[in-house]
Amino acid sequence: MKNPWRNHPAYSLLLALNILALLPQTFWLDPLTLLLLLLLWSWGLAWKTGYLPLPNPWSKVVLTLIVAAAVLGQQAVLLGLRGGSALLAVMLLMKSLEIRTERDFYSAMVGLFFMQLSLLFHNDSWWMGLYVLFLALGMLALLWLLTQNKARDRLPDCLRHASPILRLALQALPLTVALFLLFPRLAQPLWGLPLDSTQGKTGLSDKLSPGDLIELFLDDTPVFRASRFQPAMPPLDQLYWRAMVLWHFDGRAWKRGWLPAQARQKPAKDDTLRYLLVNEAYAGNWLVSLDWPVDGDYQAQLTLDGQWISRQQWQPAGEHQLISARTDRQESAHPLALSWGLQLPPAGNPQTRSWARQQLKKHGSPAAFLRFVLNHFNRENFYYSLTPQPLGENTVDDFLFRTRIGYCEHYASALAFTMRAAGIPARVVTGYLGGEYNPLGQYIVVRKSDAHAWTEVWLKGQGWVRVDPTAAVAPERVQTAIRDQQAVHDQGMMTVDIWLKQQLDWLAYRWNRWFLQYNYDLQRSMLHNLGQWPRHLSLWMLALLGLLPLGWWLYHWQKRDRLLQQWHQLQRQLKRVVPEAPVQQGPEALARWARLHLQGGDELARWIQHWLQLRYGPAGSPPLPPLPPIRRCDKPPSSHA
Amino acid sequence: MNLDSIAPSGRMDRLTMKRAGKTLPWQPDRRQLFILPTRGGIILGIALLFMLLGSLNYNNNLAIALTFFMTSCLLVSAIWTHRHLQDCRLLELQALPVHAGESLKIRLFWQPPETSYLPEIQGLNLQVARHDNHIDLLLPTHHRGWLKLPPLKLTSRYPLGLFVAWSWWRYSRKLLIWPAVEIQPPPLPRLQTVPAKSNYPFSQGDLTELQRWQAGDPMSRVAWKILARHGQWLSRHPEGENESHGPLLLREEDTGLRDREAAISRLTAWILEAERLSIPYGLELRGQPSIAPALGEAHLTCCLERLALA
Repeated sequence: MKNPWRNHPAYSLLLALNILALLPQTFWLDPLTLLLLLLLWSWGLAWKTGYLPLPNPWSKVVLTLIVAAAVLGQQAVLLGLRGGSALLAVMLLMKSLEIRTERDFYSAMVGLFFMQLSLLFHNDSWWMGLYVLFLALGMLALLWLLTQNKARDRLPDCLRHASPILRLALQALPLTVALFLLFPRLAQPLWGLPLDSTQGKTGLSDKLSPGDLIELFLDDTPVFRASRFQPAMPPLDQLYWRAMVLWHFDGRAWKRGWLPAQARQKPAKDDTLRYLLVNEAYAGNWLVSLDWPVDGDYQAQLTLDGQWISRQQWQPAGEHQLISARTDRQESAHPLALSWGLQLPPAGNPQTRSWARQQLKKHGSPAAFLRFVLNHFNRENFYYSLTPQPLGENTVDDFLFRTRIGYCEHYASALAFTMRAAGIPARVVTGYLGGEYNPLGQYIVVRKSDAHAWTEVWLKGQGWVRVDPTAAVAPERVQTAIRDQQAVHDQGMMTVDIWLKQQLDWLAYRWNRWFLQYNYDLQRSMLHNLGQWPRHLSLWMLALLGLLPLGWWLYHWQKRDRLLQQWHQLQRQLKRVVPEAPVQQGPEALARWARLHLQGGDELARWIQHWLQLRYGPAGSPPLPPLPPIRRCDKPPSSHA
Repeated sequence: MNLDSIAPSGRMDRLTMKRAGKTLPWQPDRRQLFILPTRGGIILGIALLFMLLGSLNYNNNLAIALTFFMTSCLLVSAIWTHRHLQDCRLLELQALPVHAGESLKIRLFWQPPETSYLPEIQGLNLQVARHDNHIDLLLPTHHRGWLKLPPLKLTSRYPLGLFVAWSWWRYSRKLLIWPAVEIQPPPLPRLQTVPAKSNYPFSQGDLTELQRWQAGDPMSRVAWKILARHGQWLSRHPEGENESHGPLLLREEDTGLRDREAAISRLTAWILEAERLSIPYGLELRGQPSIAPALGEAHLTCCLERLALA
């Protein structure tokens, strides 16, 4: 039996939509999965062109199971977003290999719907939105083709005549906007997150072991943008964006911890720095703020060690007003902080431990010891490199006395360990440093590549002091990039690609601020603001609604048929005075009747003739006189004769 | 079998047929127009519901926008479907009368909406062929007399096939079906004006004389076979025709049949034969005033109508 869909343009379109939905997945799917998916898709193409038959039902089941197992085997998290979308793609492509009825098309379209959704969950930038909109229009065209029943035509010819689809989409837009704004949003998610939270989208993880950050330095993806600094924007190399504090060291990795929440303080007025932070969505319960955070509208707790801890493991894109203290850190010593700040693994890195104790004894005070260590980093042949040699079991010993090559996380970790070994409380802080100024939107964009780690050391009398050992080794790491930008900006040496990059980033920033962050709270406040309007808006609306029928009536009253109304008036009066009058008859007949049966009927007959003249005669007749009085005859006219 | 007795299949059809349009020209009124999602519409609708749930849960605004956009397109397409059918107009009906047993060809002129997609038309028990400005219906007939057209169902899935709108039309006027013609009727009865001449009511009328063709002889009497074989122009003249040009009165009793339908079939055949032979004929049915003998199209129609409704 021949399958009628093989040469149907709808099948060509389905194949095209499948490959278009697969295309962006190349960004996040592994090569083997992609290869398998591509092979499945080519089978559909081969069937269409006549090289291969469709698989029979049994082989289809086996094939599905094998491919699904292979694809899922490739995923780190079995039912995460990636695994899910890969599985979805397998299902969709298999469904496209068993098209027999129109219903199979609808099933495939459901698959396409969910593919689009997974694309958006992976990436919610404006260009992905445009891409998916394009796909959605393609799906409308597919439905159109299925309905048109033009099995013979070629796909391009069919699509050329599918322009009503665009009209339909345009007509759907107002409703889309209304639904988007007004459809009630969820205040709390209904279920947890299957999204791959271990591969946190911003890359900062809650633990730091050598080599962790390296992936980030090569990634240009923006993490957040900050603007509207009040009173003024600090220099870029002073922008330490604090994310997490790592307290616990196990000999290899630093792990995160946080102290109890603190009461929100009020810094001295001239010490505050207000700014607006617009973040992209990411996984994690931490939030970024400028060192040292004091207050803000995050839905989170601010802990004593200056971290924002959210209750959710997923931070949506959003816009936040935050306040930082510029100089006064105001951090009180918490007993837990002092004990955590001295924690060390029971064994390991013996060389560093003894070296630290010796040097502290030699320099006397902790502050002097700290200065010495930083000088040591600077004077000795320590190098900054993004491709350091691998470290052995005693990571700190290896780094300090053997390799001496590393980047921020090595230095931060080594410094913190050395301080602790000398009995001085210390901790590692991760976050971002600096950012790139966008003159177009007057904001700072911070990218994954700005990730940074530094150290904080407890000094009696000064409290926790931020120490950036990387700056001691390689100040250029902190300053080069920034200087380059400023030079470019100052001298007007904008190359086209920088200009384009800034334009695009500005677009993304606007997109985040205006579109992505709309949520339950904003919807509520918007509706609340609408609720404040009744005095003005609602009254006007009601008045307008009331005026509409009035206007309608006025319009019709003006266009009414005066002559017809006069005729109706005559009929009414006749009926009232002479109930048996033949009012349903035509004017001529009525005039004859009036002459015979009414007192003064001649006058009425003349009036009717006049009316006829106006109605049907040439233009220019004088206007109709008022209706003559209608009186019954006292006696029937026949008795006169 | 009476066509009226054929009920529409589904319950929905039975319900909605009560609102069928009856007039011509006709355009579906809002109250005569029904719309429901198709299976595809239901499948995609459920998918959209799940998409909405997922995207609301993560408050992914793009996903929410996509879901609402597709939902809006679905809803707008429903309006389009409705309007598409509402723009259909049935204008005029043409049908040539037929004898019972033949197929009735009806040409229904219409004005479909100006789209590349024509609404579908279904009828019970009849064939339908759609064209750009008319619809051809082929309807088998079984009985003489008035025939009510079976209901027509206009269906549209334009533009996306996610909704189906339909409307019923059942013409209130009836069409007259002439009686069936007896296939091999006996020859015409002898002239009733001179019944004494023969004992047989119908003699050997099938014997024909061949005479030289003369100008004025109708074409139907030309002996074509002989012309083809011998090249001679001859025309047939039924025996005795020349002697008895007097008008015939065809009476129901003369058929000699008791069965009414058979008798009417025979009379029909006779009338047609008499008209063909140009013998003036009249008709007398039991219990009805007789139709005086005459000839011609109008007379024939008059007689056939009388027979159809007898």
